[in-house]
Amino acid sequence: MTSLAPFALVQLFAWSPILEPAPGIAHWWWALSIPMALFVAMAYKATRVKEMSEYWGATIKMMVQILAVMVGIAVGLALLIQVVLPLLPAE
Amino acid sequence: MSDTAQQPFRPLLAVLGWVFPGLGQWFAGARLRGVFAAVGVLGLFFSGLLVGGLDCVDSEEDRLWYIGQLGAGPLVIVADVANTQLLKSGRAAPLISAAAPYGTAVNPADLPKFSSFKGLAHSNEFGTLLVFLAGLMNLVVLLDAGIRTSERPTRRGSDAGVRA
Repeated sequence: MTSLAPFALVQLFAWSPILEPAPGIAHWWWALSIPMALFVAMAYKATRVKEMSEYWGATIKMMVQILAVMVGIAVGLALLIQVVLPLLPAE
Repeated sequence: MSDTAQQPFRPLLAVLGWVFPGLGQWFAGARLRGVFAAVGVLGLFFSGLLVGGLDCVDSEEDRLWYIGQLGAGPLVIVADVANTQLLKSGRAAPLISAAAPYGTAVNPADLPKFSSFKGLAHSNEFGTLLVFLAGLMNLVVLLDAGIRTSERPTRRGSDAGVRA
């Protein structure tokens, strides 16, 4: 089997950041939820915490909550589509 | 009743927060909050551009998304102008013709042209979403800036940042 690693490397080095989309997103787009949740929590908690000493704890907690809810919704929808709906009568 | 209701809204700080994320908090005296808010909003904004490229900010093709993205301030307008000037004009990358509808004979010159840097599928979707979230989160941040009090230490001790 031929490895695609050299091709991926060429793609990466040929990438013009900002100008063009990042290469290979189709395989790991779900991982972008992690920085997304982190940055959302950082911006939100900067406006909400009463003491800045609580900031990072509150930010990490909110990030984990966002990710847990997203995973929960994904699992719930997967169960609905792959388990529950096939049990329904076709007619 | 919320304690924020007693603090008058200061529109100038909110405008500063739109001009640059976190600037409203900075001028309100809550500098650390301003820095963290800026990192959050700009992190979303630049993550979006890295993932989706300039094409994920498009006032013509993605107008509704663009309206939400505008909450992140003039940087979004700059990105949209750069998209038009660099990508759509073909200056940054060659333009390519769209595929002709199956079974039709169309002169290639009549087909619409797109930048070869145009974002598609997941990269475009996630990039657009991240910049959109930057706009929405900056609305939260700039509204907070309008009612933010200074965080300089007070005689009452550690109530810094609590709205009056």
